[in-house]
Amino acid sequence: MRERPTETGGLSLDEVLVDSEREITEEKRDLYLILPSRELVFWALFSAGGMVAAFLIPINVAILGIALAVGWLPEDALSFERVLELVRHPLAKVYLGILVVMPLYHWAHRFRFAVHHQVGIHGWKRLVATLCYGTAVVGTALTVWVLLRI
Amino acid sequence: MAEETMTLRVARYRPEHGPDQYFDEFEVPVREDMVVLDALNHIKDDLDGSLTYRWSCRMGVCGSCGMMVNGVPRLTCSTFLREFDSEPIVVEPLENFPVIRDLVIDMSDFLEKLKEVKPWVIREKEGLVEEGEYLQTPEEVDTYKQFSMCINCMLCYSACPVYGQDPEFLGPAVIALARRYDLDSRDQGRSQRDEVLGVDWGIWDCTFVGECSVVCPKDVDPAAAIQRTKVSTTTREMLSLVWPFETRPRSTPGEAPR
Amino acid sequence: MLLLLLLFALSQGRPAYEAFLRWLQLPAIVAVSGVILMATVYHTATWFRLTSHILVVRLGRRVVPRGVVTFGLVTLWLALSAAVAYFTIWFAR
Repeated sequence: MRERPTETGGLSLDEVLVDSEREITEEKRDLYLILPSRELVFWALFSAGGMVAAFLIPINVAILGIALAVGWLPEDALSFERVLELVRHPLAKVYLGILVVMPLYHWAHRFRFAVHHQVGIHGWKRLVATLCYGTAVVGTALTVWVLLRI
Repeated sequence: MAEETMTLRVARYRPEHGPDQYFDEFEVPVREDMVVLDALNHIKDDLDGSLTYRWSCRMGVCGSCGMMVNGVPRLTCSTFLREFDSEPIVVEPLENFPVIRDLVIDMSDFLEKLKEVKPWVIREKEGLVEEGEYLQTPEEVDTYKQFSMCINCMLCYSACPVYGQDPEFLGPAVIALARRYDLDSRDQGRSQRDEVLGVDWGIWDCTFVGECSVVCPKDVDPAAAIQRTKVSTTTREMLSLVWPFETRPRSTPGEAPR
Repeated sequence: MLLLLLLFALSQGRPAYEAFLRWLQLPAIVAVSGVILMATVYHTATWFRLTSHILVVRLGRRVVPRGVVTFGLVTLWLALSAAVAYFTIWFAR
């Protein structure tokens, strides 16, 4: 049995793993220090995107996709002049930017894990991640470009 | 009076007799309130003494008797035969683990991972016995109590599809127990556990399927533990960008916590 | 995505924008929108349920029960949706 530590208290990862038969190589340990923050960022974007999607997307789809066609909107509610006026306001641009961009990252993260866990493709981790988040980044760029042009 | 019986279809694996898993069927007399474990004990006592399986307390607190019953990870001591409408009742070893013999699985992977997260109270400096105990209020106990109820039965590992596909994954129970200690006001070792939890095959491998919490017999809710760890890790990292100081109060032996 | 297309059409001038609005009203597109709407509402419902597991709200000694958290999220959702609807449809007409 290990002696109760006195001065320095807690044990380091090394000391515990000495007893462990699990193979944690030097290589993997260096990765510990670099990769965690990356996954954390992806997950944070995924979460934020999910919140935006959950709160704001249903109503927007309802208005543009259904209400317009079914005739529930007042005449000229979505007229060119009015919408252009609305969208040009800086706050509107911020709102629209967030509304379009955040769900892209939500989709990217979810799709990445679906490919690995649901479809069953276990290799190509770097490629899948790059394609997913890359698509989201491209979407972000397009959105910013369009919003600046209006 | 004709005795009622039920049929159990039990997975067998006896490496000294052959390399494959096969099934044996047993007809077991049933009493009211009989559980699957009772049936297994009857089989071993009266029908086939070679049947090998783990059990201990037979009351749902030791975590030894976890097995797949009709494809669902269950504690056999808490699974009543009257639950089942159709027969045979299929009993197999816990999924996602290597089988040693019959219904006994190799749990060393789980035990290794458990050690890695240091499931004990870590102090920067141990107090002296004369100074008294580390005190804790009932509210402080409440913060981690739920996650302390884990009996290490590993049903959650059988239920987790991510662990099934990626055996590197730390898994629900290990992460829940790590959080139990991180939340304990007497503990000062969170940063050491963060090293282990924050890797790709730690908390970030979890996709919140939630099956672990569904099968947990002690309502630990490991899924919630994992997601909350993701949130707290993320918030802490974000905050440390603007405020790089430790914020949680510490308690010292004999002193009531702030 | 829909919004991105709308914004793009907007930036291309009136004819492009009005053509886009007409496209939106095609029966096939409306049908797809209906499916998408059901999917997003389902996403919202499950998302709120999951969030209620994670979000621990403490008031002094007590913890807010899960059902109340879900209820709070749904209320917030309805309020935000109403605000969006107001700004999209009625504001500055």
